[in-house]
Amino acid sequence: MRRSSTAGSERGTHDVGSRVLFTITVVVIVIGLAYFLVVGLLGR
Amino acid sequence: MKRFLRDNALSLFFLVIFVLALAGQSFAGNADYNARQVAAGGAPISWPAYVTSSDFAVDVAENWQSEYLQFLLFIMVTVWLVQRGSPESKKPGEEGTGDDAQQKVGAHARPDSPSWAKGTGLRPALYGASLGMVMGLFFVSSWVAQWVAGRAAYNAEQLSQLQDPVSALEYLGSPDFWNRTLQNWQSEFLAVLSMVVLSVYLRQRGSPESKPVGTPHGVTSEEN
Repeated sequence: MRRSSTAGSERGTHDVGSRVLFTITVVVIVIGLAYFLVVGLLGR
Repeated sequence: MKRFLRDNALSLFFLVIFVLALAGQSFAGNADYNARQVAAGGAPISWPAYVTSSDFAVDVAENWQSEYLQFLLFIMVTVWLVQRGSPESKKPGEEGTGDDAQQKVGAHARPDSPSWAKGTGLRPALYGASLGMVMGLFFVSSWVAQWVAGRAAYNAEQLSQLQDPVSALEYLGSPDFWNRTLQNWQSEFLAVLSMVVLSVYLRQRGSPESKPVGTPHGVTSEEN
């Protein structure tokens, strides 16, 4: 909910972990949305 | 590994409880569906059949769309509207998108700024709206999924009661669609209102969602 802060201690510390989690989150959401859409279109 | 867990604990926590809650919903939803089926003289269905049914799809999608709408609205509305004293708000007088220096865009970008923020023209403009655009895309997509799956579930119910099925457009104007939609929206809007207003006067020590405990009520977090 909150705006991100730009605390100095965070400067330049982006790593592979957060990118992996970003990718996982987006993939989960996209696959989930596509799945529910397909299930609805199939009318099961 | 230890550092990965520490640095990403917040995301991992919500990822794990999301998966657990979704799994829980699938089992509880299946049991509820089967109880209604049996009461109506029908046959119960298996868990795999339930999680591939439009009943499960619409129940999940209607909640997803309202959550994405909540965050989309919060992201966009807080650009222009403020609440004095709320840590969720900018200071009064700072409404708007800010200038390039404040946003560290183009010539004002830092060496470690994202590459799309360093350019000029369309790239920084697009990147500067990417969060709202993606959340908006997720909102619209999940609302469409609710519409499509909701119609399938509604028509299955109609047919089981020997009633006529409805077209996609008819379902879009149906009480079922809007009841599912608005019952979720109202709770999300109330939750945001509560967060914005309660955080003016109440504190949670150590939480970034709260002002520091001793901060005066009329001061927003940015002024600390």
